[in-house]
Amino acid sequence: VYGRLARVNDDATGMSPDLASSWDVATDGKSITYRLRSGLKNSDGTPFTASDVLFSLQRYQTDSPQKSLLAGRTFTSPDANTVIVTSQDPAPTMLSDVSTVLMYPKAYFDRVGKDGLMKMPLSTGPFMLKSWEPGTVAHLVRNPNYWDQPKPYLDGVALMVVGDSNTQSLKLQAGEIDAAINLPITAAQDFGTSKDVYLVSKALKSSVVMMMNQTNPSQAWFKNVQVRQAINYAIDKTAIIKGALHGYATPMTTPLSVGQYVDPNGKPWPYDPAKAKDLLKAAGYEKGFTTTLLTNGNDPVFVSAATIVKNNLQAVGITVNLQPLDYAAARAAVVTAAGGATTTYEMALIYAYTNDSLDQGGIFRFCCVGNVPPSMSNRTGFDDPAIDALWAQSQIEGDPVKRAALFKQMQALVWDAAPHAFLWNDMSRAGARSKVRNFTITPTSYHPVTNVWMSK
Amino acid sequence: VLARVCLRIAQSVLVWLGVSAIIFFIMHLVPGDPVASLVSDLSDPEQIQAVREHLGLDKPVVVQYLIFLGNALQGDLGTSYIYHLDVKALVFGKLGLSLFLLTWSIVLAILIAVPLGMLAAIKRETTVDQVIRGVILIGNTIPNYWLGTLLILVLVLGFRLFPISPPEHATPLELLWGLSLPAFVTSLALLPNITRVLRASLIDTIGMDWVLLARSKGLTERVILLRHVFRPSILQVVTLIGVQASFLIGGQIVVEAVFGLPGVGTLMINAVRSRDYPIVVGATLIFVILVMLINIATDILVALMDPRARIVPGGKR
Repeated sequence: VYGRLARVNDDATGMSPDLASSWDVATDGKSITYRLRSGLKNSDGTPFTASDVLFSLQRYQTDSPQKSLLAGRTFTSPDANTVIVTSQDPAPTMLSDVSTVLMYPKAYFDRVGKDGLMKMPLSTGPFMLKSWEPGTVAHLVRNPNYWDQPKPYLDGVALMVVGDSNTQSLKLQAGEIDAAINLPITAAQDFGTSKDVYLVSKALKSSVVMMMNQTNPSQAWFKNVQVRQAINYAIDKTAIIKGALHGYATPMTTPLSVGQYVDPNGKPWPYDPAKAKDLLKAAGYEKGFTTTLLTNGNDPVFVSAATIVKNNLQAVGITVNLQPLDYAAARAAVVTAAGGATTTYEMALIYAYTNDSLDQGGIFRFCCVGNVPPSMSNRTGFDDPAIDALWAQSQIEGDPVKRAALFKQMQALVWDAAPHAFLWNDMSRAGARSKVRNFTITPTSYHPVTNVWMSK
Repeated sequence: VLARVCLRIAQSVLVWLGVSAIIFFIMHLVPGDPVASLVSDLSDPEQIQAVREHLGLDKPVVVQYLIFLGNALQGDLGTSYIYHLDVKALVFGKLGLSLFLLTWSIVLAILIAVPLGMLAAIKRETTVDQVIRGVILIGNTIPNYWLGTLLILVLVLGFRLFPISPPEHATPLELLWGLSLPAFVTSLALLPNITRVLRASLIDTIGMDWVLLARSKGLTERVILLRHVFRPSILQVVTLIGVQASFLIGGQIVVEAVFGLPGVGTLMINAVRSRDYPIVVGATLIFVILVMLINIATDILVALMDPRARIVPGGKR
């Protein structure tokens, strides 16, 4: 419904224009000048100008739960079609950060307030909201004032919430819905050779790791890099992808999955139980140890994967107790109320590392950089000063070539330090009826319905 | 009858208060943080705390309960964390579909179980009786989510007889047809028991003296069965519906999810996943009221049909 100044492009390697038709990053990396498309309108026909952009950016800076993303940035507008975002220091992530901000119409917001906007938003995107039944369905209709005419091709879209993914798959096959996302892992088998439905299976910017808690005093072995490496060797990634994911995943080859700076020469940790045993012996854990693996019991993929991990680790002498909990409970066992790691969990296989912005720095913050205030997103307590220093450098390095080199170096260091057991990169499991054309998904899980059309 | 109803209502209010406390505390004891589903993984701790305070989740649970109870007694069940909407309005908005499904499943249960029970009683200890009892046993033990998925695969995707769920703006007839499968699956919490109770009760009654008397008067079997045997037995069926109401509603929550029906059950399941406490507690309490109403209604019905049941314990007729 809402537009942005720019959005992540279809292979998550750069930005493509949205409400801004172009932008220039200053050579010192301290400012970006955005030029808005001329004649932009909100869905009610009122003009959308630079003052709306300033308003949206400022509101994000004061009200958003992620307001620290834009902390210290200043916004100016020399004319109705230009917005300049400035930083005190070189800020290579600014382009990515600014494009996470949704653009609201100021006058409308002033009139109806935050709640009014949530109930009935004005649109700057391809569709606008017609009606909304909470938790059931949202009816979107074509925004006649969308800038990229004749798009969108569809007159309207009904977004339905179907709680159970199996039911989703069945409804898609029965023709009661035209497209679905997050289908169950068995969807491909269910669809068989059907001519009525097709599966959209693409690499996502989302990777699943098994976390090993290095802050839990009773699990001190996880502080030992040899133990963590041994666990990476001991786990059969191919078996997990085949057994738990029916082939809908690829093994991780670097800490990053898709997008900018991904090292194309990365290789998965080989499956080598003998080497794992050697490493455990070298680390002084020849007789193994006992640990608990917390997993997301809501998702059969995670439960099957955890079972394979348990068997793999058993084979090298590590006893694993499986503890499946429902997702909210599992997450609460891992993450403290403030967002950091609890000191009580042992190992956890519960979620994927993912984000929907261009910059990969956030992924590193999740997985492998010591917590940088104010965000507390690293939940293993892993902290390596060399990696932290590289990361800090990457946050101020304006030269794209040098920055790419930093990310390459970080990937290699993190990969060897094995803060997690690196498992798989997710693939989408979306599906559509064959009359739905151009239904696709980007690595950041964005479904560009703008380009979808339907044959009769 | 009136005194009995008043007593039942008074009892119900106490039960409701008890249930409200239990469900509120259980929900808050379950591990999992509602704030986690509201903020992103990159949110600042300070912002997370602000959300917690805004929702009142920073206060002790007992204080939270008292605030909730105070509001609930004034008819305010709170605001959903996820949808930012009034819980009562949210639940009532979806209650129509759930009530329709509940009623339809009770009607279906009666429509199927009564003929089956009568047939089994009349043909007792024959092959017909054995088959009916066998099917009933299976019906009673089969998990409803499994049967639901199986019926969708066979009757919807295979034979294309039914939709999985009715279209959004369905006519009453479409709604009835579209909800037949979920109603049937829901009714399995009731149907086998009705058949069994009716069969046993009919067989008992057939052995009574007054039936012998009726036979000796030369009445036809048909008249005997309908007038002298069926009426006393149906009382037990009505009582049973009251007793089973809570199981029926419990099963319906799962059935709604399996068939993707946007009723209160689906709302509750999603709310449990995201730890949206106000919806879970609010919807449960509304279901509790519903079960109580069904119980009171069946009591009244029984009292109207059977003079013996009009006695208030310790009182007069």
